Amino acid sequence: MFKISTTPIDTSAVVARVEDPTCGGLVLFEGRVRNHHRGRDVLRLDYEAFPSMAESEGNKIVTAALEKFDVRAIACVHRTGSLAIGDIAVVVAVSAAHREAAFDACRYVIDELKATVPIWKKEFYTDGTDEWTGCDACAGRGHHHVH
Amino acid sequence: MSLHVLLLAGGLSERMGRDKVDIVRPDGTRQIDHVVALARKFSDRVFLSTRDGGDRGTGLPVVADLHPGDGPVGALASAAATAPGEPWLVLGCDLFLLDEATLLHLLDHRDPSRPATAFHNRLDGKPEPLCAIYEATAMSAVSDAVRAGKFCARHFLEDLGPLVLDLPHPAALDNANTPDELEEAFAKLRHGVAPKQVQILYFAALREARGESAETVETLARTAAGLYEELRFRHRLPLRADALRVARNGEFAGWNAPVEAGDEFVFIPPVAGG
Repeated sequence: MFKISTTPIDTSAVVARVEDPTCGGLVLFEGRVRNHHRGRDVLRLDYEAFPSMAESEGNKIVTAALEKFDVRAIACVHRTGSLAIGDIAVVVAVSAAHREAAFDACRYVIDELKATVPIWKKEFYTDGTDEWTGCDACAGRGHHHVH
Repeated sequence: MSLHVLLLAGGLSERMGRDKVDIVRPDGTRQIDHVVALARKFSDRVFLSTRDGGDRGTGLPVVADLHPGDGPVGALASAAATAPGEPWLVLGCDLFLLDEATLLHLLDHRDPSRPATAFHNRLDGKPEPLCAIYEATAMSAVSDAVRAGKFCARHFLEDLGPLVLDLPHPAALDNANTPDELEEAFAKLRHGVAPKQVQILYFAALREARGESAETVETLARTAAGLYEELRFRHRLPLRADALRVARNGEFAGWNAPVEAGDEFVFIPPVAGG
């Protein structure tokens, strides 16, 4: 299961989706908003998604992980909207009979998500500037911002 | 006496990765030979403008750049020095969709009392400098532009106050600067050009640059690459295609994905989830 959420994520509800009596391992990853990025102080950030495609691409990753690793269930929810420092941006929960596969699958899901799912992040800095991160095309083209 | 014609072959073709004038067209002719043949239908005084004085295998007399690197305006200045007091028809050798009807239209509607005669760009309406007639008065103004360091050909032509015509074939002056855009141009050559409506969704940096999150546009593009180039040019979007991915109807697609009526396209800036 992969979902976009426009409201705060309830981690315990995501965990509940993967709980299973056959599983001795449950790995939970929470991605949270941190207060710095590449040496700059971050005030808050906005996440934006192309919701229908984010969910279809996210579900492709979950399906691939279920095939690739010996795990029982995977649930992932990604937040959109305006987030403050410490807010939960993404939750990945994976259950498996044994821990190793659960760790591997959890890492796979978050890494793939970052690379392909159409979600964007705009960081607002304490110096009053802002920028869309991951915008490598802007780097070195005379834009005032630094990545 | 026929008009002097200057064929511009001095570009660097950097983003294409090879010299655009040597590209072989779908009918097997080399691009530069196609443009030379077109020009010869209208003039027996056809010259080639190159950086280095080479004739690119055309056998044409060459107007070498006096100052290589000054672009089309510099090439015009070099031509003016070659034949002072003469009007020139200037054509880019990389106009893959240029055809005889377009040149005939330009020559038929030329007004020699105006400094120049040109076509409207089909996207922004501004005069296109690289398929245009520059009268003797315009040619004499070129050296001033060069001296002032004004090397933008579009600005030079616009400042002349040219007669500007509508293109009889709207895509005739479409540009191709990358292999994907070349594929678009060849698709138009092979299959023709027909307008169709598609839906565009904008997200993140592109949404902000466009100032809209969605729009319906009429396009002549046959591929996603051609569609994005139209949008980028029309809206002055800050990202080039090589920084983006394409989604067609909700699925990732290649830049050569076909554009069909009713399609939904999203051009995806670098993602940053997690």
